[in-house]
Amino acid sequence: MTSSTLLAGAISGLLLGGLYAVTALGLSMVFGVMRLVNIVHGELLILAAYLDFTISGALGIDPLLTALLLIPVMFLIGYPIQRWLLNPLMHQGMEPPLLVTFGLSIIAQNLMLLIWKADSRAITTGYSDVGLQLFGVRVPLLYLVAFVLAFVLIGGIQFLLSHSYIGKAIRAASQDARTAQVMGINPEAVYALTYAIGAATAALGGTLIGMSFSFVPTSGLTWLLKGFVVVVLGGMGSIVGMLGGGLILGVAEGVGAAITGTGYRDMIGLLIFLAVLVIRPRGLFGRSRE
Amino acid sequence: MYRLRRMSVEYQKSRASQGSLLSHLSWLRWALLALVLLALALLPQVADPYTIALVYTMFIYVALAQSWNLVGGYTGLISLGHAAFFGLGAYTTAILMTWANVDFYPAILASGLVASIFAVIISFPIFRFRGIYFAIGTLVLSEALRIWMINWSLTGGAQGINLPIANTPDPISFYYVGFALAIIATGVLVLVLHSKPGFGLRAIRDNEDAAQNMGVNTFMVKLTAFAISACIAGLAGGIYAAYLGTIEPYSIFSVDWTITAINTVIIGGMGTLIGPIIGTIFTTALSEGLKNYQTIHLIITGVILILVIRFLPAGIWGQLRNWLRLPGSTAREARKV
Repeated sequence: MTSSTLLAGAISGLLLGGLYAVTALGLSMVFGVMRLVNIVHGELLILAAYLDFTISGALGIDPLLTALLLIPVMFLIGYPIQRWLLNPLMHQGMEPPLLVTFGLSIIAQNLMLLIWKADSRAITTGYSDVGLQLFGVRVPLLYLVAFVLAFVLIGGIQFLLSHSYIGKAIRAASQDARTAQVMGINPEAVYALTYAIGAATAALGGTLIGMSFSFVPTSGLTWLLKGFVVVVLGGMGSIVGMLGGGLILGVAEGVGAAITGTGYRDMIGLLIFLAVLVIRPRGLFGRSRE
Repeated sequence: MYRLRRMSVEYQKSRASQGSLLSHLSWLRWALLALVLLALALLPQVADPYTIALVYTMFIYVALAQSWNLVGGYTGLISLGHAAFFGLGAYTTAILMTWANVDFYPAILASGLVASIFAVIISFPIFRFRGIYFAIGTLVLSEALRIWMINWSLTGGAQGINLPIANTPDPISFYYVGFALAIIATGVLVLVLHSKPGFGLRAIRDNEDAAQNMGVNTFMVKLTAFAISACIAGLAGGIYAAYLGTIEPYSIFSVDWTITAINTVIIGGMGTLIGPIIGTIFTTALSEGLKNYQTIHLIITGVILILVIRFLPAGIWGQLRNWLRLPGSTAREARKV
């Protein structure tokens, strides 16, 4: 191991951090607003990857353009989950909705297995293998694309939350659902909308996963866990924090994998996660409320 | 006001159940239990190998489900990491039997012990998490352990370990070992629940802060439950590994074990003694009925899980008990009061 492999790990990790941020975004929104751990988020990402794989393959459109098409599709998949499955359970504490998303993840995983079989897939394009030199290190062009898109998407969501009526309603409901209700906001509708937006972000996250890595129907768990790490590092419920969390995880994995070997790569984030939660049980930048 | 009304309803319910036919006939329940146990003990004499293997698997599932039930149903700690205890148990037996020539029985006892020790070690960081944080923390821990085992050459890495066939018992003995484990797992729950810490457990489930204020040493009580639960799962893992004869980290540490345990407990009835047994019968019947359609079977299981959480929060047994007006309350009912 030389300092140049460390540098290579750090740079490609940093760029990959943008992708991590995007994949964790929906998880963070749902957690921040509803205090709901959305176990099925990993499967939503992989579902988007499969849909993109199939649609871009069949129609011959660029996968990133296909991701735009998938945004409303994922939105429509997400909305009813919260509206009719999770909302009726929200007043029963945190565990019943968590366990329902757990059940959904079993269903989604096996549906994907049924439709797309267990073969490993990857979304390929003309620029899949294009690399570029950054500080003397060769990194895939895709990582850079993902990095830029992460900033665009996260900036967009942040703008939506701070400047639109819907965004203000979402923030109000997340701060105090009861008071928001008194002010004429329907928390149930806001929750469904938040969940749907969270699922919509999986359209881009899943596409980027599919373009940068290979995936199988059971890959969701890996991405869910990475999402947890990013959420905990970036601050539970913080949108812009996801960028920070994603970049920290990316660099830690890149540098860590350069030291320990790639096999342990996925373990590094998990250890960081546990360490952070032991030191700060509410997350690194977490707000101090249950 | 609502609370008071609920309490009076509960009281009337309990009065009503005292007057019900079934609870007067408690000897009938004991007789029924004895009959079932006798039938299960005699089953290998009459049944074919397939049935014996099937019922043996059910015993392992009952043990795993009871193990999860103790923490998930009675203590309110939703563990998504029980695969870690199961996997550790499997690896302990495999390593001891393969490399140290340890006999089967001491090896599985060591499995239970190792899983317990692991639970005690991780309890210090993991009990800092409450509720959903605990759920995520345990999931992360078990996945970290899985990745470690896949990469660690000392435990055979991704290839896993082949156990010596010569030292393992015959299927009939396995049947009785599984039978014993299922009885022990359920019996331990009975013992724990009727002990003083057992009341502490349910107090923690209903309100941890209040329990602490009432003088319950919440950390010790949770630790005890967690360690016992891990021990049962570890024993189950050890027995399973020896039965299978070969283990590898992908499937033995798979989150599927946790999923199975949770499904079984929730469908049967969380925080009840009979629930996990009913749940095992139900899920086994379902998987036998759909055994040529593994993927569809899992989809249906997921759907049933969601339907039960939504419409039958007390589970099959909890609901049945309400209809039969048997005494006792489940996790979900207790929390509503």
